Amino acid sequence: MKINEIQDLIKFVAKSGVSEVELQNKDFKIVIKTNNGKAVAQQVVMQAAPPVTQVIQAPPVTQQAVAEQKTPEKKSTTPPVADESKYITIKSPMIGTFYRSPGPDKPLFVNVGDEIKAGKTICIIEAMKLFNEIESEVSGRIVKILVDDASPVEYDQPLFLVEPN
Amino acid sequence: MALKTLFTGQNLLWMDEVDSTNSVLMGLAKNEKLAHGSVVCSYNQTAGRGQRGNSWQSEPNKNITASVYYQLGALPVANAFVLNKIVSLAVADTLKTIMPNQSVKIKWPNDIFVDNKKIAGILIENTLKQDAIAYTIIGVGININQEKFDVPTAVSVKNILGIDYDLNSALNIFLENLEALYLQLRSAKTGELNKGYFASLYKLSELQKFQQADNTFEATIEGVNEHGKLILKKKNGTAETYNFKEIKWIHEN
Repeated sequence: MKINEIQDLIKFVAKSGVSEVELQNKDFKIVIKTNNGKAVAQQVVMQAAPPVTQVIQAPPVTQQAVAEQKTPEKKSTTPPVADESKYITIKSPMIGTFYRSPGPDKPLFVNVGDEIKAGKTICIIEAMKLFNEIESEVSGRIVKILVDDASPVEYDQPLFLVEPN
Repeated sequence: MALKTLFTGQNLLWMDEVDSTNSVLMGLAKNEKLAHGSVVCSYNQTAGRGQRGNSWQSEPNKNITASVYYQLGALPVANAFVLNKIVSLAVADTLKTIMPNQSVKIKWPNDIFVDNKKIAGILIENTLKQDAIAYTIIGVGININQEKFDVPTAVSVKNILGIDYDLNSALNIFLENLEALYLQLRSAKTGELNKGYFASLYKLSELQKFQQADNTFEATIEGVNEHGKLILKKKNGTAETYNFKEIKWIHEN
């Protein structure tokens, strides 16, 4: 049984209000007990010797079940997610065409790695023959540019990731 | 003839020669506190800019090129098209004053046409702060006394009237018209602005051929909606709206 299936099962049991659920097929047996408002799953893999036990706990109200895995071979295969929470996303204030320079033969307003100050022009968005210079509201370092030059952008579409300083 | 405005052009930077009046004014706006309505003007612009990558060419001392700085006090981006309306109307009204017997039209969104030829160009460059337009640089080039053009689609006042027209007078008329329309914008008289814009709209209610991606189609120009999109009524009776970049006009001459 996959880890996310177990998590879904825990959430389901926690929501259902029953105190104990036991599931079994030829490969494994899983027992989910709820106590003090928390669902606890015990999965016993039948074919493995010695039996491996997984204990997963998740509070019923949150969507993220925290897996405490005791089996080294079942380690999560997803790579650690880069901490992007510290970055600020600059979004498009309008629908239009995104330009990274004042003109086709002109230098780019900003590049990845550039340190920018609040008030610095970072791009132009053109709509209906009106050319709109967009200024950064934050100071920091440009980490990523999320849209290609001269491509259409929607309202609220992320344009830049900035690491503020 | 004295300029009769409250603020537009009262701070006027006259330049004997300039690369681009918009570029000069933009530089000033970024680096110093500029008076509302400041104008940079020249009759000899050597590297005029048009739409992205396009140039605006003008023989020295034949035409007017001017740029106007207006603070907009956080004009919502959703209302930005009103700038196309006031500037197009200001240029069209100026040409109607100079040539009362001509039909001067605004080709959506902001080209000025007489006799199916382009007589003026507009380049509007806004600066946004906190998702609203803080100020705008309004650049216009109006063909007055130039007689020969590199492109067959251009025309001047002199081509039409056959006589020279005073450049200073033309400039003053334009600045006075622009200020009057700007004040209409500020007083939220958008009904009047819309009426004026529609009344001058090129090919209004006429059948016109357009290209969209690989398809060509004919449609009747019904008007422009509040976001500035062109409203086209197709032959099957359905009306659709289009952004500037979505369609191309096909002219058959």
